[in-house]
Amino acid sequence: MPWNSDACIVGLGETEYVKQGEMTDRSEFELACEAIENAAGDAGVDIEDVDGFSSYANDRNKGSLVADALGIPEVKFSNKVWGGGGCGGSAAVMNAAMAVESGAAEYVVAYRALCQGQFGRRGQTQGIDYAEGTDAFAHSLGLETPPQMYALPAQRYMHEYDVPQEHLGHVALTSRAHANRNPRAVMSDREMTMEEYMDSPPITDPYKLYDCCLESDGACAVLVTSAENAADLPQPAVEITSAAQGGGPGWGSGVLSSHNMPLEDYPTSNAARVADRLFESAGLTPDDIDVAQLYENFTGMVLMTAEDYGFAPRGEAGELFVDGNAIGPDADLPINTSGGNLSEAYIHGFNLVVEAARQVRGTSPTQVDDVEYSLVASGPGVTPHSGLILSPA
Amino acid sequence: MRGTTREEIFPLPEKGIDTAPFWEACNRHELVVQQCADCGALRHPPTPVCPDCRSYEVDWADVPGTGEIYTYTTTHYAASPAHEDHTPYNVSIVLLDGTEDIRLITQVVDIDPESVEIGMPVEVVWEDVNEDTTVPLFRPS
Ligand SMILES: [Zn+2]
Repeated sequence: MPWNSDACIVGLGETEYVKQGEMTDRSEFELACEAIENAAGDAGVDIEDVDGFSSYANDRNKGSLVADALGIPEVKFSNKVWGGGGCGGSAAVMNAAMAVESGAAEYVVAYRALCQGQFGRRGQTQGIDYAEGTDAFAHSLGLETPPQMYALPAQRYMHEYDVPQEHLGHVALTSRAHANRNPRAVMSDREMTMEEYMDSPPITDPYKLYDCCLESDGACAVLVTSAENAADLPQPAVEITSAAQGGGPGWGSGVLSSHNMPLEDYPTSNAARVADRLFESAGLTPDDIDVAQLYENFTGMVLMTAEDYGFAPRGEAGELFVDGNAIGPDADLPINTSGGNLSEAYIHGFNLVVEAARQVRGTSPTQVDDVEYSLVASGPGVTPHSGLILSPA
Repeated sequence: MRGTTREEIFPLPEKGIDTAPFWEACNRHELVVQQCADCGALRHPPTPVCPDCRSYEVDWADVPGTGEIYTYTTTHYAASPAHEDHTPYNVSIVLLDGTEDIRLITQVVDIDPESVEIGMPVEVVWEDVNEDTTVPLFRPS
């Protein structure tokens, strides 16, 4: 069954993005409210008309509580995608669209707020004494943090396809070059060379410091409603042309704690099945995509995601990034055009969804000309992976 | 606080209903993998249902305790103050002999972490963390 909704993104809302720990005057919860209000304001929709809330992963800012704080008169939909970290970002938008399409709610906001400075850094362990369930097989054996979890498939990937470290480096350089064009990016003023990348401290092999996403404080949101409503609103409507979420067998906890995914799937991002459905549903191929946001918690996963989406053959995604091939509006396939998780901010990848929508509106800091199809891939290595193809309504 | 013993650095495994037999076998220095009592398929990490035949009947199969490094990482940074004196350390995925594709997350010890390689043969070495908990580490064989 193809994706048959014509729901649209009509509002984009962001707070400022800062390094983790620098957001000291407002709580994460306040930022969630602010981003949602900004999305409604941008859309020209009265905040009291927002009747649905959709987020993902371990967002602490429950729709029910955000709704009360914002004085929403009636909540009709409140939903969170299970599992998989940043993998659920596009799925949260998909769920918002499904709520709209079904008539369950009319204006659904998908959002993510994350202040690592207020609740603990992702790259650090939190001093727990016991690891439960499947996590025990990872955490108790030294596999405790995301950079380690995602280093393991990257090491295998580089081994199987003889991928040089520089290919990872070019992913980092691509995001950084785009952040340098984006005044809102945390790394806006910080340029990066390959020498600086190669000299950056080792974190957990093959990842160096600059292979790892930022740790940030901030929030962002998109407002979803029907195409009919969208036609009456001031912003150019961004159609959700295709949406998909899911994953293959054995990827339930994937790289986070299983590592028993099928051997033939192991050095991938678990995105191929979602990508196939996304393209098939839209009647498109990878060649039709004008600009892509590929979730970069760690550089190695971007290469595997790009291959899962069919942008390059197995082991060759590095070629998409070398020589500045993915940098700038005139690139064959510009990738991560706001600086993404690596260099704009780590809002659990929801900022990539916002950027994908901006590319359709024509307001990206690295705006690609005449965007027909803008793709975002949320989160690798666990189920659900999710993705969206956006286009002008 | 800086950790010196394993118990001070890494969390202990909570032994749940589905997973306790694995950890109890570790305490006896026996490496076991969950096995479907009906179709015989091995699976890991433990779950209550066989994904191949949907049986809820569970056995635990002895495996040789040898294998090869499928992938690994050398961790250089301290994820907490407790880790500071422990870096650099290895974390590996070991593909177990006697199985088609069962992998354990573990740490390879008794070797400079920088010398670990994919494909390296390894064997289990038991670390008694405290009187209630033993974990399976591996060393080059
Ligand atoms: Zn069975």
